[in-house]
Amino acid sequence: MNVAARGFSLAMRAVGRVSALLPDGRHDPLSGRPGEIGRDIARLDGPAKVSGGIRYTADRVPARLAYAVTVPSSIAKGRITAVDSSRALAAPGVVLVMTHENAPPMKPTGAYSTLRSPVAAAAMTLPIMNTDRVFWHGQPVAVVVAETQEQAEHAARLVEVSYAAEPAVVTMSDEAAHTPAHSVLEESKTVVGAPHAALADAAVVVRGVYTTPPEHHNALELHATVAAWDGDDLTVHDTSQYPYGVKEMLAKKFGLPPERVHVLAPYIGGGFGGKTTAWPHVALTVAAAGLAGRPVKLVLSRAHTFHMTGGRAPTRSRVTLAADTGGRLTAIVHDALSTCTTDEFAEAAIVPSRHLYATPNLAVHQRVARVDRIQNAFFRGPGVTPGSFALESAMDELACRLGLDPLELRLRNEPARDPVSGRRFTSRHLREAYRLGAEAFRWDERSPAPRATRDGHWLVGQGMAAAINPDAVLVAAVRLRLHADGTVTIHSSTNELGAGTSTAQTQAAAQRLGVPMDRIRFLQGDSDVARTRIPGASAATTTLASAIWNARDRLVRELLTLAKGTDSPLAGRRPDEVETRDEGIFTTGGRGETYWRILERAGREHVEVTGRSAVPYQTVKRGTSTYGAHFAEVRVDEDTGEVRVSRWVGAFDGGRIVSPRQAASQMRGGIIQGIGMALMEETLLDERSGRIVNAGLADYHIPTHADVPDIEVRFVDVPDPQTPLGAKGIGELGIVGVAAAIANAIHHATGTRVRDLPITADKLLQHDGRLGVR
Amino acid sequence: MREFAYLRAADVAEAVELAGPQGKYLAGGTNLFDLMREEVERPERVVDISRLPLSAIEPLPGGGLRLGALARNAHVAADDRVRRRYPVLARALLKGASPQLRNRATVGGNLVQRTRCRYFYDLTAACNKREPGAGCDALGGFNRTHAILGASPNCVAVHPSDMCVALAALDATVNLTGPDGERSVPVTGFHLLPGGTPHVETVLRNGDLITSVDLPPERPWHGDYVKVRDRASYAFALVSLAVLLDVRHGRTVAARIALGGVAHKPWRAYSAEEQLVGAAADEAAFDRAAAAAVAEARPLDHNAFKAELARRLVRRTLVELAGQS
Repeated sequence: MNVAARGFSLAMRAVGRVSALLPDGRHDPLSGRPGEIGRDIARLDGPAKVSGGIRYTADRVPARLAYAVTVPSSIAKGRITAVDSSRALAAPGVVLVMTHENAPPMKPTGAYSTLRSPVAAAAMTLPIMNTDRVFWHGQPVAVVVAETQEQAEHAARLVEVSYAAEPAVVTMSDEAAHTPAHSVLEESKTVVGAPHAALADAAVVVRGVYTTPPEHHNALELHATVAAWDGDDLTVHDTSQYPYGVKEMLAKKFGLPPERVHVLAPYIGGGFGGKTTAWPHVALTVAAAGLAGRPVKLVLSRAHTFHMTGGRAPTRSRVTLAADTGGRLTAIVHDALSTCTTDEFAEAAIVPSRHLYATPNLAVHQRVARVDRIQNAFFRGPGVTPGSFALESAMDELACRLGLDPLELRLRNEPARDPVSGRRFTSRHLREAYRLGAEAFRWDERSPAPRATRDGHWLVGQGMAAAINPDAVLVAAVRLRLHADGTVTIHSSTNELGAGTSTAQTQAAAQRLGVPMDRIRFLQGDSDVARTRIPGASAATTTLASAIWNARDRLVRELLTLAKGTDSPLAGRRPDEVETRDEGIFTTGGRGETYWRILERAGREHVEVTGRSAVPYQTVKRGTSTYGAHFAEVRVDEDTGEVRVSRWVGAFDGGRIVSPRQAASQMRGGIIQGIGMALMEETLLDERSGRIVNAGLADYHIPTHADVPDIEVRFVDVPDPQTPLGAKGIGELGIVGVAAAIANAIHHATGTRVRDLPITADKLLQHDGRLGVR
Repeated sequence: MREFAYLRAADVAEAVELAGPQGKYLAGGTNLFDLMREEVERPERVVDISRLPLSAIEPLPGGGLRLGALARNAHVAADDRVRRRYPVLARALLKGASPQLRNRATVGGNLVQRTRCRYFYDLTAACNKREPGAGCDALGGFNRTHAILGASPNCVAVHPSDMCVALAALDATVNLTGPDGERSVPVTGFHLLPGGTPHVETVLRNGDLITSVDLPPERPWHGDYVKVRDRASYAFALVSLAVLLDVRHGRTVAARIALGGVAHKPWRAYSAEEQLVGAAADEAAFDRAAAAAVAEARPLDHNAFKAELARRLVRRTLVELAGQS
C-alpha cells in the first residue's frame, strides 16, 4: 500500500464515514461571502462566564450527593498484596471504601488513544481496580466515599495498601524501543529518495539531538465526574471533550444498553487534549455511585491530575539536515523516540518533518519505548509541537551554518506539493504568513550575527520558526430546531472547550440561515444528540460548520415539503433553486417567504432536523494543514541565565477566520502555552520510584502575566476553497513552533544553543562558559 | 483534613496558654492551611491569633521600626517608612508570592513558613523533617532546588522566604512571648540548620508566640534585593540575595550579605562580608567576596549551578551598589 493510500485508509478507519464524502468537491457558497462570518465580536458566553453564570461539572450538587477521593499507588509496578480499609471505614462520615476486592466488574474497552477503537473514550485498556496489578506510580488503588469532601480526603489517607513491588522502567531508552503500528494516523517509517546518499554528497550538513520533557495539561478546571444511577439508567456529568465517547465507554464497561447512559458536558474549563480520553476515575465514580446507591462526585485534586491523568510523553529527536550551498534542502532525516505504555500511542515528533519543507530525500522514523507510567495523552499539537521544536531548531542551525537569514532559508524551501505524498495542497499561504509576520516584527532590522545586541546586562535576540498543524473535518452532528416564535436552537454533540466555538458557530449559523445571532441558541455537550466520533484535532469549527451546513440543507428540504401544494410562493420549488437568507427561503428571482410563515401555514410549533458533518473529499485527497510563522524577541540575563520574552508576532494561515477576536485569543493562548513549554514546563520524575515530584502548580510552572509580552496576531485570512466556510481548524496551531522560535532567539541573543526543553537558567549557565564572563 | 480544636485567643497571654506546647497559631493561614489539608501538619488544636492587636508598624525609641507579627506582608511592603528607610525589605516582600498571598500573609507567619521541598509535602516519601528518623528522599532524588550550604545528610531542604533574607541582612530582632515571659532573638539566630534534628527549624519552643520584629536604626546603606527564579513572578527563589553596602571614600566600611534559596535558613555570608570591610571597594575585592560567599558550598546532584549563580549575583550586586555610592 502506498503512503497516501495507507494514510487515507488509517484516516478513514478513524473517521469512519466514507459514505459522507462529497466526491463532487462542492464548494461552500458561504466561503468568502461577507456577513456575520468574519465579524469582530466579543464572545457571546463571556458575561455569563465571568459573572459565575455557568455551571461547570464540579458545580453540580444533586440531592443525597456523596464525595469520592481516590487513593494513589505508591509504587510504579507490582502487586497489591493487601488492603486494610478498617481505619478509613471507621473515620467520620465514611460511606464506603472501594478497592479491587469489592469493585464491580468493569469490562475493559479499547483505548481511544490508540485510534484503533475510535468510539469509546477510554484512555487505556488496563482493568483499573479490577486487578491487583499496579502499572504506574499514582494509579488509583482505592476510592473512598464520604459525606463531605474533607471527610473523604482524610479517610483516603487512612487506607493502608501493602505491595509487592517489582522493578519498573520509568525512563526512555533505546534498548526498549520499537516501531509503533502508526504515528498519529501516519506511517511510523517513511523513506523518500535516497537520504543517506544525499547526506554523503551534501555541501552542508547539520546534526542535532533535541529533547522535550513529559508535560501535563493542567487545565485550570480540574477533572470532575458526577454520577447518578436511577435503576439501570445512568446520568453522568463529566469534564469530557467527548461526551458521546464517555457514554459508549460506560455502556460497555457496565454492560448497559447505550440508550440508558446519558453523558453531559456543556461547558469545559480548558482541556488541551487532557479531557479527550476518559481516565480511570470516570468509570470508578460510576462504580462507586452504584455501590453507594446514591449520587457520587469525584473531583481530582491538582496533585491527582498529575497521577491519574496522562500528559505528553517525552521525546528525543535526532535531526539531520543537508543542503546545497544555495540553501536548498537535499535531505531531511528525523529519528524520533517517545515513551508509551501497553496502549501504544506515539508522541510522533516526526510529523512536521514530513510536511513542512520541500526536499527530494527524506527519512523519518518514529519509535516508542515502553515504560511503567500512566498512559500518555493527546497534548496541544500531538507530535507536531515537540517535533517542530526539533525541526525548526535544526533549520535555524542550518541557516547559521549557511550564513543565511533563517526566514530566507525557509522561503527557499517552501514546497509546491506535499514532500511525502506528492499531493497538492487545498491551500497553503505560508509565504504570506511569513511576509505579514516579518513586516509586523520588522524582521529586516535584525542583525545577522548572534550576541550583537546588549541592554545593560540583558542580551537581546530575535528568532523565528514556522508552524504547521494537520487540518481535518471530523464526525459530529447537530440537532437544529426552528421554532414558530422566530428562534433557532442548535444542539451540538460536541462541546465548547473555552476557545469560543459557540460564538463562532452562532456567527456561521446566523449567516447560513439568515437569522439574527440573538435569536440563535447554541447548546452543547450532550451525548444523546447523535453518535459521533473523535473530537479534538482542532477540528470543531469546520466540523460543526459542516454539520450545520448539512442541517440547513435538510431543513430546506423539510420546509419545501411543507410548502408543497400550498399557496406558498415556494410551492413546487426544488432545493437547488433556492437560497436561505432574510429569515427565510427565496429563489434567486427573489420570490419566497420566511421560515415562520411556512411554519404558521403548516400549523407547526417547530421543525427539527439533524445535520451531520461530511468529510470533504478534496481535503482527504489533497494535503490540508494550517500554517504560521512566529517571530520572537527575548532578553537573556548574561549573569543569571534568566530568559524573558519581550516581543512576539505570530502570523497564521488558517483559511478564512470565522470569529476574529476568538481566533486571535486562541492563538495568543497557544503562544503563551508555548512560552511555558519553552522555558518552564516539565513533569519531573524521581527516577528511582517513578514518583512525580512536582505534582502541583506551585512547582509545575506555567507562565504568569509577567512572563508574557504583548502578542501581536495576524491572519492571512484567505478562504480555503475545499473546506466548510473556507475555514480551517486553528485550535492547536498557535503553540506549534513557539519553543523553537524562543530557542532560536536565545541563540541569537547569546550564541548558546540549548536543545533540551525547558530552557531554564541553569541549563544556560552550565551550557556555555561564555555566558556571564565579561 | 483531620478534625482539630479551633480556639480563638483574646490576648497574647491567653494565646500562649491555649496553645500549650503542641498547639499551632493561625494568622494568615497561607501556609498552615495547605499543610493541614495535606496532613503534613496535624495539630490537635489551632489557636487563631488573627484578631490580636499585633499588626501595627511603629517607630522604636532610638530610631528603629517595630513590625507587628500580624502586619500583612502587603502592608509592610507599602509602608512609607519601610520603603524609605528599609527598601531592601520592601523589595524582598514584593518579590515573594503573589499579591493575593501577600494580602493574607503576616510577618510572623513568614518567619515560620515551612520548606517547599516536595518530599516534605508527599506523605508517601521519606522525610526526616516530617517523621524524624525516616530518611531523606530528596538527598538522592530530585534536588535541583535544594540546599548547597549548611545542609546535613538528614535534610537538604531550603527555607523559602524572601522577607527573612532581607531581615537577616538588616540584623533584625524577633520578639517572642512564651510561658516563661518575653525574650528577643536575633533573626540570624532564629532559624536553625538541620543537623541531626531537621524537624526543629527555629528556636521557638513550648508555645512561644512571635509578637513583633524590630528593625535596627537605619544606616546610610546602599542596598538591594535580587532574586533569580524559574519564571518572572510567583516562584520561589533558586537563589536570592540581600546586600547592604556602605562605601566611603572608595573603601567599604560596612557590608551585609544574605543569601536565600541556598540553605535551611537565610544564609548570612559572613566570610564574604569580612573580605569587604576595610578593603578598597573595587572589583578585586568584590570577586574575593563573591568567591568567599560560596566557598563552603557542597552541591547535590542537580543544584551545582546554584553556587555559580550565587557567586555571580553577589559580584554583580556589589559592583552595582558600589557604583551608586
